[in-house]
Amino acid sequence: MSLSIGMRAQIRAMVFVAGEPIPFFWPMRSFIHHNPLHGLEHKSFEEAIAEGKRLFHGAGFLPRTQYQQYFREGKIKGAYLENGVKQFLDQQAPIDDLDLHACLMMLLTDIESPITSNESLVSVPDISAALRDENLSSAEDIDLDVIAERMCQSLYENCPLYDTLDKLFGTGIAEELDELVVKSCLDFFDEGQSVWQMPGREKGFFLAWREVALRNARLLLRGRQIHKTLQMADDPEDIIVYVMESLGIPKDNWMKCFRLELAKLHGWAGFIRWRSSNRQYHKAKKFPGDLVDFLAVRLTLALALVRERGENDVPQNAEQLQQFIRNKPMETYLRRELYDKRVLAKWAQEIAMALHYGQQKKIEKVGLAYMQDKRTRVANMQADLLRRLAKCANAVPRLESMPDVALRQVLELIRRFEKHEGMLWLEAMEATAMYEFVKGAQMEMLPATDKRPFAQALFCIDTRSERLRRHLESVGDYQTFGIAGFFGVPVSFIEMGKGTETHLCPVILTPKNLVMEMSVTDVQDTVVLSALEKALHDLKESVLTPFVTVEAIGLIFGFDMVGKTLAPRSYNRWRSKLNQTKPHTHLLIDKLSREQADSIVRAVQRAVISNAVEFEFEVPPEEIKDDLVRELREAALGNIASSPLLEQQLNNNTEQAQAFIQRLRNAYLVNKSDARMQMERLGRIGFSLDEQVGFVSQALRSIGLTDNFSRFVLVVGHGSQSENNPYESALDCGACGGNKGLFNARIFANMANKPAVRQRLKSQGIAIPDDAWFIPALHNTTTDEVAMHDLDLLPSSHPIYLDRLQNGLISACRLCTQERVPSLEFVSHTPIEHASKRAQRNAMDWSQVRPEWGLSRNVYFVIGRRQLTETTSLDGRAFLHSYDYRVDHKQRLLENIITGPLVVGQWINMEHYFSTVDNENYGSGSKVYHNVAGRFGVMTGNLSDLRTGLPAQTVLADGKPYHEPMRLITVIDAPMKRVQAAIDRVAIVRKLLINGWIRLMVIDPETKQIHVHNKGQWDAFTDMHNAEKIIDEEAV
Amino acid sequence: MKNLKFSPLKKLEIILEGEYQAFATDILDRIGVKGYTIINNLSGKGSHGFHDGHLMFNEDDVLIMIIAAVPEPMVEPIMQGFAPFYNEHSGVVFISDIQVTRLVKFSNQDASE
Repeated sequence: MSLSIGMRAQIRAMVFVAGEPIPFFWPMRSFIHHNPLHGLEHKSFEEAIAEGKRLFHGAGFLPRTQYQQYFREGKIKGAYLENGVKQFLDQQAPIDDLDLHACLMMLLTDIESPITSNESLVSVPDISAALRDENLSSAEDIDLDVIAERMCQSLYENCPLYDTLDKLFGTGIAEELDELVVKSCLDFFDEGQSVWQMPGREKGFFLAWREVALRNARLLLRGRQIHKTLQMADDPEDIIVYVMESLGIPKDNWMKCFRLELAKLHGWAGFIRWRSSNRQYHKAKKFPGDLVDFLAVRLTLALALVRERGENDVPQNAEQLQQFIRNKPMETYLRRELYDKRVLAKWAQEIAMALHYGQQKKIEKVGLAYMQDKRTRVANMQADLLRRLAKCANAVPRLESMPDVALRQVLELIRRFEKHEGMLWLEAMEATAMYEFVKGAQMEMLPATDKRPFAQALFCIDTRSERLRRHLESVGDYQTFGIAGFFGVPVSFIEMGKGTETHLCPVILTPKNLVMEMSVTDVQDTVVLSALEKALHDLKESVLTPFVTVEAIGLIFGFDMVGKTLAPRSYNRWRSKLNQTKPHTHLLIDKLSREQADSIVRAVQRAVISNAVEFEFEVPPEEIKDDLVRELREAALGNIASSPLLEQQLNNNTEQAQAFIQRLRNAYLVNKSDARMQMERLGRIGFSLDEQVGFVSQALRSIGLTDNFSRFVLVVGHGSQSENNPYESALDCGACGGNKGLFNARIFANMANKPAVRQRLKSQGIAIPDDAWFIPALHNTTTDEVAMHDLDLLPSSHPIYLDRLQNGLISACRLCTQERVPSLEFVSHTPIEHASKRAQRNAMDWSQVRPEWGLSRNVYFVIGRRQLTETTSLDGRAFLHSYDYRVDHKQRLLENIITGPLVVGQWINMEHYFSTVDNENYGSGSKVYHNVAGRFGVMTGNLSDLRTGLPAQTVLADGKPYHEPMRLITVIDAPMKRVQAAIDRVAIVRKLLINGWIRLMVIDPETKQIHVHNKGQWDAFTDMHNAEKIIDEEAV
Repeated sequence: MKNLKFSPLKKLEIILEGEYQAFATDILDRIGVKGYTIINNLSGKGSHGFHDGHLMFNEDDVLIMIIAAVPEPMVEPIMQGFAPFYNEHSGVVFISDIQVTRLVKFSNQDASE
């Protein structure tokens, strides 16, 4: 079979759209916090949770008992809960003689498990009978055909076809299929963990797998079936169509089915989805693979397994299955009870026997008796819970005598309530957190002082900065600011000794500029060599292979494949040596001139040619003369026709000489078009003066720091330190793409210290005095230490004050550690004075599964003046972004903060939320069982889906939530009108707000009013928060 | 001077959200479209209200337009490919008749045909 190109494109688009709810999985080297339901953000929070349950089987809220505990601890105030119940009841019809408000409050706070059940066999009259202690009507009255028909109609709704087969015939296809798919993925996507590489990977996932599958011993048993499928077509799109048609699934349902298939191993699917959409990713360029390939592999294997099981009278396609269900409804029911593990234990054996012998009479008889028993149990259990509930509301007699119509009304009301209950708890918990915030906030606008602070410090908005900022402010005359930790400068970075670019910015940005790190060698060098020649000097020093290249330059010049593949061992040795004694470095931040770029290209070409001659003709380097190299270069570029010097060396073998020149052009990339490309790539290095001025000005304005600069302005990035921790990157800076923030700090400080930049800033109204100096620093979040960098560049006037600054930082660090360390359970007994030492030990201890709590317990995102929060402790739970609306004349700064940092904050918040409410499905479970997979992810045990989300150790303590899951409560300190205008202009935030993915509270400093966004409308904080009632509650 | 020869083609203007750029260009590449132009950061009003262009901080949150000139037989497969996408996403495709002088740049057909 062969599809038209249009149809093929359509299949691709269907798979693309089907894959959208599957969250990206970034390689864990740079862990990116994200919302596991990001692909469903176009739906409301509540709807998305329901869809998430269907696709990923994840819970969207904590169990009721946990919320009840928060209620007892005062973390959820009763007044808000009552408010929620009232709002719910306002939309329901009243039921006579029953205090529903009291009943529902009781249900929330006193009854541990849900009252209503999903057991379709139990009807209202059954529960009514149970309430009166009467016998239930006979099971013969139940119309099984209706149940069977419902099952046939919803065959494609909740799980793939073979899952239904498993649930009815115990075929175990799903589990075996997942295993086979995971093994196939591990083979193909491996990034150097396994010793043997899968052959033919450059052809792409499906084609490479196809080759192997036809010969693979593991698949030999079902080889016949796989052969049959693979022979039908060559392309993955065609295979997908073949399988779907063979399974008899109507085309209208294909997309739904694709989505369910992809959700099955959503970690792997998410990785493949990310990988194929990331064109920069080296491995993806080299070994391409996308969701279409993945689906084709999966479906081929699924069809083979279905056909194999079909040999034992199991239906092989949708039509046969529907026929079976319709013809044998009782057998279907019993099969589902047994194989879907719903059966009452004492019946299991009898039902298994009846099904085994297959006599319909016997099946009917056992079925009826079983149904009666199960209904009675469920009805009695529900009746008991109802009685308990009624007892609290003094309504037991009323309940027992209730007619069926009224009872149905009550049950339906409770069912609706229990479905909505999670939202109600969540909203009450968020309202409590808002109340707590407002209670501690400093609402008065204090007049600005003219006094120059001893030092100012720019910290990342990260929640862990809040503690350090608070303590630093407390130990002396320090002023602190919060800004996204990439300091507004998106940059692609090549670290010294690394052959890859790292994007140091939030993942929603693609940096246009490239910065390289270079070693500062001896003084003589700096005199003799320009910055660029130095880059080349590095290059020449570290040649490992016959080809020339330092990996950094190599990357730019397209020779990236060299170091790692050809000489991995020597490469690694060299790397580790390099890391041991990493020399002083400086950053190449300014743009190159055209002449500089041109001379680099020429120098690299010369080096490549001379290495090629050495390698191909085995000529010792000292015999390769400059003239020859020059001539060969001219010939390769097509400026001259031949190279007489080479021909002479080859004993006049012109053919061989020409072939070599051709190789220089094609294999060694010495040609005009590659030279143009190389010039273009070199053009990415550095920032122009305009760009530097723009970035510095934008950053300073957005935090409201435009005058009164201190002598020291610290630019503090942050990073975590731990050993043996695949999740280390999750603890680093999200604004720097899951990397440490030091390089961004160095780049920013370098720009801000440049006289030319300052001169231009002055003309724009930002006058940085000559004695103000920006110092980059790194905040180690595991130990709370702050280490300053590039101090060798400090002006001579500054070192005398450095001691005072160091001492201030050390004091803040110690106070911070003392506050933080007791919450780490392993060290809770540590005397407070030893807290710093314990924190340092955590950073080095390879067996430590929880070096720090990271961003756990995050809940607020404050955009505003520090004054608002400086008098209160936010306990390391708030992202703080400085913002002063008075300097935001065009109102663009606020828009930028909510489009960028707030969105990233929401990802982090949602990652923590879902990893906490359902750590097994949305989080990654316990770290203790994790094994690294393919060098980019982790699996539980030795074979599982890639684990996504955060491990239990990050969000749970002793199996109970440590992180308190709430949606991000955003607080904006600006006039209401401005905030509304900004939100109206930013589509993405408008969507998040209206669909309830973030909460928003606006504190208007001009009117002193507080507005809270609730489901599409703005409420006054005072209306929503009945302060008197809450204060009474607190007093109790 | 040689007389200019005009050849008819179809122009597609595909408007969608920035985060789907790679999907759209992949479909075009696979169908064999030889080139396209991408305009970033569009502003405008549609069924989802006003969409403002943004310069900083979140490139996924912008509208983009992909302009491609293709021979008529390619239009249908392209639209077939985009159909499942536009069933679930906002955006539009405009198709119009245009003339070009150097057909070889847009089509695999020989310009002299």
